[in-house]
Amino acid sequence: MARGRHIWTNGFFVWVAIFLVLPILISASVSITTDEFIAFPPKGVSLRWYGELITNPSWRHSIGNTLAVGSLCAVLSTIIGTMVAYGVSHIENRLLRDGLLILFLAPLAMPQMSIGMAMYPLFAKLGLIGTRWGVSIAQGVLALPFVVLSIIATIRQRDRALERAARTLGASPMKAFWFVALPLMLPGVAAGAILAFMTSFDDVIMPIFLGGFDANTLPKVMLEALYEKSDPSVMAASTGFSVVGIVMFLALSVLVRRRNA
Amino acid sequence: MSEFSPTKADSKAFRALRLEPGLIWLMPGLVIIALLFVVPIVLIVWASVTDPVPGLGHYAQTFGDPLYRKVLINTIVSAIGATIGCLAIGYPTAYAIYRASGRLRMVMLGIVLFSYAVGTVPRTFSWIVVLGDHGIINSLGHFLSSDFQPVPFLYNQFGVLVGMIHVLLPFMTLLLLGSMARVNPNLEAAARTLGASRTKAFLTIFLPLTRPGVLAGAMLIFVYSLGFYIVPAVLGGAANTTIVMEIRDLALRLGRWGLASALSALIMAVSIIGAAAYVRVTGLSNVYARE
Amino acid sequence: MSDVHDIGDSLSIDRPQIVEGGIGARVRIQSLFKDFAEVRAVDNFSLDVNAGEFVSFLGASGSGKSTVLRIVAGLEEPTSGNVIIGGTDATKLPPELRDIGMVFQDYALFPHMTVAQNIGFPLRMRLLPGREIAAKVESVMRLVGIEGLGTRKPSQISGGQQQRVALARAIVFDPKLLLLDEPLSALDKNLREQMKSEVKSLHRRLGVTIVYVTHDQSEALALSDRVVVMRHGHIVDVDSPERLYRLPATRYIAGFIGEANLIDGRIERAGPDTITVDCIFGKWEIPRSQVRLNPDQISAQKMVVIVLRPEELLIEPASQQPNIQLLECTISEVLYNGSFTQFDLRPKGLDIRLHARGQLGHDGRLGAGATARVGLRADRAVVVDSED
Repeated sequence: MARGRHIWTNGFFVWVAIFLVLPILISASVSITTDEFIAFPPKGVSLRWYGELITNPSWRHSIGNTLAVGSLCAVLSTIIGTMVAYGVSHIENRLLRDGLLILFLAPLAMPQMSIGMAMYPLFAKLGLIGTRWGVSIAQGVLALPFVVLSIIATIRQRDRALERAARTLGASPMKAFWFVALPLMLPGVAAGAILAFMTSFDDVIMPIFLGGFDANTLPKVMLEALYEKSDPSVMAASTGFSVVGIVMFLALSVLVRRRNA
Repeated sequence: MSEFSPTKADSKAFRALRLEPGLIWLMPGLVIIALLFVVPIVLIVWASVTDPVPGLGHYAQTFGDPLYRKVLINTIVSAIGATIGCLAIGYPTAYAIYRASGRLRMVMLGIVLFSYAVGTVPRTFSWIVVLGDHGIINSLGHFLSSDFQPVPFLYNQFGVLVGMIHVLLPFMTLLLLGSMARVNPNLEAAARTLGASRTKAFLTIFLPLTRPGVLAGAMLIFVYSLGFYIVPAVLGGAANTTIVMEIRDLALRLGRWGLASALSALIMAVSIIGAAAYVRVTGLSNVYARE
Repeated sequence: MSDVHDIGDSLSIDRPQIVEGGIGARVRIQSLFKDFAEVRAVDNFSLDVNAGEFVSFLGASGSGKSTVLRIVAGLEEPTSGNVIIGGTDATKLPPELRDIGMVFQDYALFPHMTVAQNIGFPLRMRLLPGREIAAKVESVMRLVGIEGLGTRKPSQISGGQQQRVALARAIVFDPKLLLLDEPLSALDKNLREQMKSEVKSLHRRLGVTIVYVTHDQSEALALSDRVVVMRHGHIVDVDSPERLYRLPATRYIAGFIGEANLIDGRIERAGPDTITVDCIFGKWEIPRSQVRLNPDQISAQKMVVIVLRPEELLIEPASQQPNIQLLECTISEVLYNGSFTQFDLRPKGLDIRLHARGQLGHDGRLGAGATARVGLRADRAVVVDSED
């Protein structure tokens, strides 16, 4: 069909693209200001505020925390999520399988605050409040649905047939899982791990509710910095944060493309 | 059916597991979900009616006390506003992507996903730079006229709305795109050959066929935006407190666990209903890989 | 050799007159090209379709037939070339202004409308009053045989019924041109045979010009006034079904349409009325009317292929006829096919395999391994170029 009509929708898209992207670029530009205030336009160019992130103990600590908590969350939820996805895909009963899937996807339907609040009493009793483990586990529950979805979307009938073939060739269930199923699921697992890390990375609510100094992740410190200090280091953190997010997303898309190839 | 052949002696448990080979793998996950998700939620609901005294007092207060009523209304209004805004902007956006092909489509999707990848927190913060008193818009006004008074875009409903739409738009666009992709492209072509102009074909064929997907997506976004915390906290004012901000205040600052639980239970109930409706409309079939 | 005009005469079939200025539109497709990125999907396609004619585009998938149809419909823009429908240059016209009816392979029925609403859609688009729409819908539903289904949704009717609804929807507004894109391919065999007859009688009743795209040669042969054989985006040949079958123009067509025995040979002598071809069975004299080479290609030593249809090989012919060459053959395989039996043959002492078709019953003697006398009707042989 002729291209003429598309001018309207494509033009609209340009405005939407500007809406989506421009604010981020503007905040990035503010982060390199020499001034002590968050204001546009930025006065001068300086990487001073990025330096702040490294020299200031509060920022530095939070970056380390974020990486630690994120990795922990990714590891936990990926292991559990892989087992869940594998298990669910082997359920023969249609109703049971769909029901279980809904159960494991349920955290998606709940507001994160409620989940965090719900875990508080239990974590308090276990002494997990204020610890990295506590926050990671809580975020792991949030991330679990993403991991499960990511892996289930990779499992095809063909993979199950290959597993069955391996069984007839003498492999035990465990061996069939390890040597046949797992390698085939690997792209989904890797994508799930990245998604889990991204979920933890972006999460502010669990560190607020269940965390403490040790689990002060970057988003939480950014939030506090906004209220307390309000200097451009917040924007530097914000920009750095965005960059990491984009990098992770690019890694994810490469994985997805390879999975679909 | 099942080739599960246990090496241990045939206990009853293993015989049961033979029926469903997948179950053993699900054990750890089930334990975790039960312990860390199901049980805590039940406890929350329990706490909402027992802490500090048994009864539905907290729920009464939620709907009775004007303070909490305002919070509920704030939340719902913001959510509705964000959903409508996302729909209005997201539908044409999704349609543009749907109509695009090849390279252009990839670029468009890339832009949308880029915004999503940046993360909720940076996106929210960036609006401070755009809408704030020293932000780009007000600076522009100041540049154009020296006695320009900065317009308060932030710390009110407007700022919250803009922030929410900005955060939710990629998600909504993808949902809508998904429902558009399910429409048979031959249908519009058929309508054209039968005498419908481009616009008519869009209005009579394409739009109605995307309606179920649009409704389901709107429902999902609405439910999701009820639980927003960061955006209203950063971009809103005291008068824009949402339910999640209130829960946090009550639970962590004021120690009023019961009331916080009640509010939590309310929002959980609404979320479950919304999610269930979404699943009912779209079905779980599109979760599994194509064979 | 018998009468030189033997095949030619038997090819004239009684056809209804094509009415000029009748309901059907004349379609002229001129030098159509269509490129998709690196691929040339349509390569210099030109065709004149007469008013009220039934033309089929026949080809394998990827031959470009659907692309040409979509260009005629206005759903694709050609890279270059023109489409003229009923005297108007339609090349730049959007589909809704071309007054064509189109039936898609998957029917493309609107799932959110009832059958009656589907059929009435084009009339609604043309702003006809409601009562008139209802009347026309009713009459066309009767025409295709789906009365009473008006209030059902497409998902509630069978595949065959859906096909008829698609047809009804495409003709209810009396278009001058009807385009059908493999409309029968989704139906099972019995339904397909039945629909073939109905499409043909519909064509005769309406007198509309029909362009029909298919990969099924039996459909093309059965329904068309002319068949356009396509390959790799360009036209291989355009001819009546009878001539395409009995006098294939190229080796490709001979093999593509129907079954064929292809026998290599070389022209020994090119005479004024006949040519002599030297092949494994000896020297055959073939009338020029059955030689489908370019006249400037007909010379001695030219490599050619003799085409002999399976039904032109006679198993144990009853009487001795002058134009039949007899061979002793070993039957390598017998495949019973109901209305005919196929025999795979190996002439004794010769390195060639032949297929014959006969109506012989499955009597014990003519089984695999048996010997049979086979008569080759050399007078029916057609000569084509050995290159495709």
